Amino acid sequence: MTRTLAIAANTLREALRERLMYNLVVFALVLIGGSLTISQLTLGEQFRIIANVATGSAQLFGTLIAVFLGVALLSREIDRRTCYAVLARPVSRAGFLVGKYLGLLATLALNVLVMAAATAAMLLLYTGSAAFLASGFFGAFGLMLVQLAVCGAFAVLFASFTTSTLATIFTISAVVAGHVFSEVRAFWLQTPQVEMKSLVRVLDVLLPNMGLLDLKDALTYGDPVTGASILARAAYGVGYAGVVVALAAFVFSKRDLR
Amino acid sequence: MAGTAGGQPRGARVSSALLLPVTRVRMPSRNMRRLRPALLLAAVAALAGAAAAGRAALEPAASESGRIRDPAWLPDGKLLRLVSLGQRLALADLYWLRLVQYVGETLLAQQARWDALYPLANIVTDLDPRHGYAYQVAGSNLSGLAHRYAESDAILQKGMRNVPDRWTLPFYYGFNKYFYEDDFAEAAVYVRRAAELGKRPHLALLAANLSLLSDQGEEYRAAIGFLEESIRQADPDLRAQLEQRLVKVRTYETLSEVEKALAAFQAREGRRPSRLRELVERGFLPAPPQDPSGGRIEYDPATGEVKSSVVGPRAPVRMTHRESR
Repeated sequence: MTRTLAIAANTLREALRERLMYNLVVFALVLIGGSLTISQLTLGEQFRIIANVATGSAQLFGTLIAVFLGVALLSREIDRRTCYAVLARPVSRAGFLVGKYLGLLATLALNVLVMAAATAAMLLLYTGSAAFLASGFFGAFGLMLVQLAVCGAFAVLFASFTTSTLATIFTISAVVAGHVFSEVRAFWLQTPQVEMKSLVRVLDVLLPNMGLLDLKDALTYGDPVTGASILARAAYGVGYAGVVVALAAFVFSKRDLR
Repeated sequence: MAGTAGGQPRGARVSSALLLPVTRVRMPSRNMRRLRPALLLAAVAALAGAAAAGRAALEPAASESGRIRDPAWLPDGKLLRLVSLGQRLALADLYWLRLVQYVGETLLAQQARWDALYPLANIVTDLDPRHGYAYQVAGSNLSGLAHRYAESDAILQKGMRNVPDRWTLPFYYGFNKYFYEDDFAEAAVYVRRAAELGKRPHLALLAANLSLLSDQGEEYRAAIGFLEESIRQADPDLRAQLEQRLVKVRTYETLSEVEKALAAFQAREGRRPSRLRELVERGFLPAPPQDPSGGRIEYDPATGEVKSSVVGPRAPVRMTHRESR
């Protein structure tokens, strides 16, 4: 466990040296800052534009960071064979992979924190009050981190058995499928065809329902969100990501690393 | 492969393809060598000039780019929602900004067509069905500016389904029914709903007026019931106005019943009754009419006019789009 945490800490240090991540964070911060200007183009309803552009940017760039960084952190170790030095020590492959994932998670948490702070600053600047913090703000950004954790888990899974290019493509496909499925699920359930309902049940297990991990509406509309609802959503996301990481650890432990 | 042919330094790797066919390379003259930077600069300047000229020529196209034209082609909102990848709220805002720009541009246009307003509003509200303000703005502009009443009704109905607690939507729908479509009974129903949803008892005054315009027995009864309920909720100032309106509605209801009895009498007898009691005697009215406003119901056999001695004849205020033009 200590060794896994040491790998996680090292992964975080490594990730913080990534130029790609800083580029994406800067883009996100520029968009979040720009939301105040964009909101001036509308007639009323400025708050929702600031909230939507800011949370949308945070989610989009957070996902890109999770995918690219998640794939790179593991693929690079394998491609450069630097993982051999670590694995020659008394560290299991599963422990190594979980450590890399925890390091990625810490990096994503730092990113979400920065983007949440920037969003809060913009909303505070516009409204002049911190009332928005009471309605869905923490839930929205907390669940965004869980969503990114799921993306990162897929990145680690695919990077554990294929090339970085293919792993990136597969991860993006899984994330897109998760988003599209959360939108089409209701339509498919309404169709009279029984096969569609069975398909939905299967996909419910296979694909992550990204819509359940998305509380941006609550911030936009000031919806009250119960702690139980956030807890249930977080449990779903964390559990899902945990299973994917466990699968990745299994695949990685069976991989021929020669 | 190493060699000295063609000025290649010894030891440099040269592709065999470059050595064939063997040609003599003429070295440029000194003047040419001096001219080369100037020629390169001129070529770059020419390219930059061509790009600038092309860009200037394309300015109208650049200004048009992204502008929504009439008749409009716009994507389907439900399809956009499927491919929004969790960004449907931001995408809804993007289309909302386009809607706002479109309304502004169309207002300034020589020949306004408004073909894109309804599709744009549909896209915004498909992406974000809770965008209550979009329904409200699109609904009021589709009727008030574009005079597309069916589309206005459709977007407001969609809004009432998706945001049932926003009182302005039934209010604007009721206004459409009253001002543009002359459907006073329907207008009264929706304005009453707006008053209830928005906890705005003063709208009961408007709803009552609309009920008076509709001149239907069930509408008078609905208006009376609604006014009584509003009076219980209203503050003292508004309560006095609502009570006055209640008396007026009751009086108009009585006058309307008498007018209908008079019309039926005339249709059957071929003449007007000499007095109101004759309506009771012939079974057209169950009892002599009482004036709810405290006065008496007066009848002029010469003209057939019926009125209250306090409120006057039944003449609701009427100002619709057609009459205001």
